[in-house]
Amino acid sequence: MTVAVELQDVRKSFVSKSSTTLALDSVHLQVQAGDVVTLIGPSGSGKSTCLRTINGLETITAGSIRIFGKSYGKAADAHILRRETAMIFQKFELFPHMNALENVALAPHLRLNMSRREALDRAEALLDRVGLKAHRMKYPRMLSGGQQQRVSIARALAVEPKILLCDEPTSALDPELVDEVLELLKSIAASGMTMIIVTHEMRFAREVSRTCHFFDAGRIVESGKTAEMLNQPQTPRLQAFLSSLKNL
Amino acid sequence: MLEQQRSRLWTVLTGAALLLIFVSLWRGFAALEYDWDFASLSEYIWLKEEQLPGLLITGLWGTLWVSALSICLGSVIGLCGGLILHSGNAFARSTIQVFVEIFRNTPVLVQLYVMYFVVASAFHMSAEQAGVATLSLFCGAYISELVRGTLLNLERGPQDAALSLGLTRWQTARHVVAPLALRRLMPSLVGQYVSLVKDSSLVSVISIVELTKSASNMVAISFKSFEVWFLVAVVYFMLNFMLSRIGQRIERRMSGDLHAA
Repeated sequence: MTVAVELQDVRKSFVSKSSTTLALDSVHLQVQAGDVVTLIGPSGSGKSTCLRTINGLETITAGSIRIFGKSYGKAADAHILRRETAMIFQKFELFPHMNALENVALAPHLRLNMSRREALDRAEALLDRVGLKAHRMKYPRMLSGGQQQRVSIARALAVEPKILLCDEPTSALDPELVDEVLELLKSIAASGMTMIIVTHEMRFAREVSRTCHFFDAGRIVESGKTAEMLNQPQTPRLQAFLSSLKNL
Repeated sequence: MLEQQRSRLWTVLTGAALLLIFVSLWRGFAALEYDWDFASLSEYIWLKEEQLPGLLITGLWGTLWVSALSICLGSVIGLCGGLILHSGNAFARSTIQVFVEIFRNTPVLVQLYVMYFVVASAFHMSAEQAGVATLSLFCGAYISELVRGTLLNLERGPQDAALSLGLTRWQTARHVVAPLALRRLMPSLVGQYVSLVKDSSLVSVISIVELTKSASNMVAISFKSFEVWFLVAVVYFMLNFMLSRIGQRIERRMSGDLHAA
């Protein structure tokens, strides 16, 4: 097995005038190619920050991040290493001035040197795959949250990433729209994509991922097989976290 | 109070206020016993014998080119200034900051005098050059702040998305940041342009031939100050009204895709 992502002793601190916050505190993480991994934990525990460091949206204070063995060098070269990954955001972050088709076609056109025509063809095929071919000419504002997130998934797939990073993909969705997005992500996971997913949906984590990491206060507190961890949490903090979810 | 009653009350109050204003204006002008004579202004619009544009038209032309040139130069200055304020290094940033503060905290009229009598003498600039330079810098200072504020408040999300897809910073700026920022900027930019057209009347003090300068000349020749200033006000109004309308059009066309539900 090849190692897709490897984080070694990653630290990240946010410095403001009054205080220094340690967002990531010595994080070690290894993800094999083809694996689906979930990151869980309370809000502010560092899981989203961890995800954002993997594609260089956040710089790190210390440690190293390797993607297929290569590490981030100068900030200006970040876009080269980012080409291995693509990301799905909690709030979709579609380009509001472009319709669904253009949203998906932009990156293939600019980054993979595809002609406009080829990029649009690819975008159309991907929108078909996520079930939105009929909505391809619509602007983000005209789409429901679930539809927007599916466009953003198509947009991420359009650059043929080796690793798909998902940052709480269903947190901003109305409850009845969650399933359409989760089903789509499950089908992508089943196709063999390497995925790292930050999620609050424990049922989804259980279904989609074999491995799970529990974050608390910037550290990975517990790691293991998802089902075992969720059924028999070992650390008191994971126990407390899971029981707080059950009380909802 | 019911909504309908309240709306009727407002109609009555506004109507009464308008009536009051109209009546007092009417009485004031009636008491002057002035004989309005707009017909005599025709020679200032077009000289029939010489087949040449009159003072008003040459003045309007002056206002148009001074404004257009200052708007273009001011926009370029403002764009560069705003970008530096947003992401330049500390030294460049403070330099632009000082420039912005100077031009925002002194009257344009004083800026014109300084530029014309001091700077222009030192660098052998014509009145026209001094006037356009002042208006451009003045306009550029305000636009710098507008650009900086817009970029500062622009949501990070779509930029992060573009970067996460592997676009370079330049591609992100060109395809995502610039279009979104321009849509946000449009309304205040048009306001700035309108106010520049109005401020262009000030360059009349350094003897540049534009609408206000021509109007003074027309008054000096004809003594018809009532008619002349009234006409000039209408011309400025139409000019700026058109400018705002064009701006609104562009704005609506650009943001149609953002707001259509």
